[in-house]
Amino acid sequence: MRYGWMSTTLACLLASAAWAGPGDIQTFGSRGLALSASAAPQASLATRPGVGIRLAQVLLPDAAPEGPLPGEFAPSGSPSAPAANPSSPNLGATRPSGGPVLAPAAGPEVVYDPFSWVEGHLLLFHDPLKYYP
Amino acid sequence: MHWTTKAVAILIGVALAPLEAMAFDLGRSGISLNPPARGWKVEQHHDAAIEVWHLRAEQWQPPSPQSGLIAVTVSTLDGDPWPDPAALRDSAARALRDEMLGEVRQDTPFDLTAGRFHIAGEDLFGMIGLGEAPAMPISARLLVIRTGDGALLITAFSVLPVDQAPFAGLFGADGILTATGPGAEALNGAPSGPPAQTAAPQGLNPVADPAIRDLLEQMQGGFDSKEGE
Repeated sequence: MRYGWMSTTLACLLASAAWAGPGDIQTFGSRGLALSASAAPQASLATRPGVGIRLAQVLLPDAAPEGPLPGEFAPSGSPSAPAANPSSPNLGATRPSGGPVLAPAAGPEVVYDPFSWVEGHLLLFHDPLKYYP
Repeated sequence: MHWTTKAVAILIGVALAPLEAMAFDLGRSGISLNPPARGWKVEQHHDAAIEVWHLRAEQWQPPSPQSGLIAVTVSTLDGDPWPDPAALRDSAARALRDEMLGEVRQDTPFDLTAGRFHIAGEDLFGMIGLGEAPAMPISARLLVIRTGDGALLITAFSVLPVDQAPFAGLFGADGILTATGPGAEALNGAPSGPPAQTAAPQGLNPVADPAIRDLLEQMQGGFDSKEGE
């Protein structure tokens, strides 16, 4: 009986700790991607762990006059638009005129080289001169 | 035995332990690394999730091993995100040509599929500087070996010229690397020249491939032993 009461208490504690309230967590993920609510001043981020899944939600306030609807393309300069990133010109670019809502942004084509890391890796670890006595 | 004698024996054993040859598998690639017992420095590094083994001969002139090898580096790329080893080979070879070697006068890419190994390699011959000493001729071999469980990115440098089997000591039973399993002979049995010269022609009867024949015999042997129980 005592153990049952303790386990119930522990479950409640875990449940309360698992649900992080809005704004408690600013970044999410540990695999090279981050989800942040900082782009929208009035938005907040909440996470909830599941079985093998972590769910993250960016919560937007109901009355956000200048913010776009969820899923809508965020015009550059708006509170919900991400900051312009020179290394990834497609992120934060202006909305293409006349295009669909989620159309790719206009601008230079981004060509990603999946092996761009190789040169740095070789120079750092495979150069025989680097370890020459 | 007196305790002082035992202590001395233990100390001698501990001191000689690093000199013993050790071999260990590189994951489940089917390739093992056999660092030479003497004359080489062995270092292990990590580049994010990539495990790197760097072996370098302590003396380059003359090279400590008779094979002429002076440096061998193996990067283990776990998982299987590398469907095209040739593309990775091309990028790595470009870095070798542009950043490490000078006056590259010969550059020979090759491809080979043997058993479970998908190999894309390139042999380069050029010049390399030894600190403040004048540049000297160097042979470099780049290998990208996809094993189905990931890939290995291997570079080897040898001071021997192309006509003296500069990479004979890289793979083999007594080499720094040893391949096992189906297709191993394509790596272990390529003492000189690009392994592409030993590539089996396309459309070959699989049973004629010794590696596949051995595998089939092993599988059949397993059934036979069960029947005998």
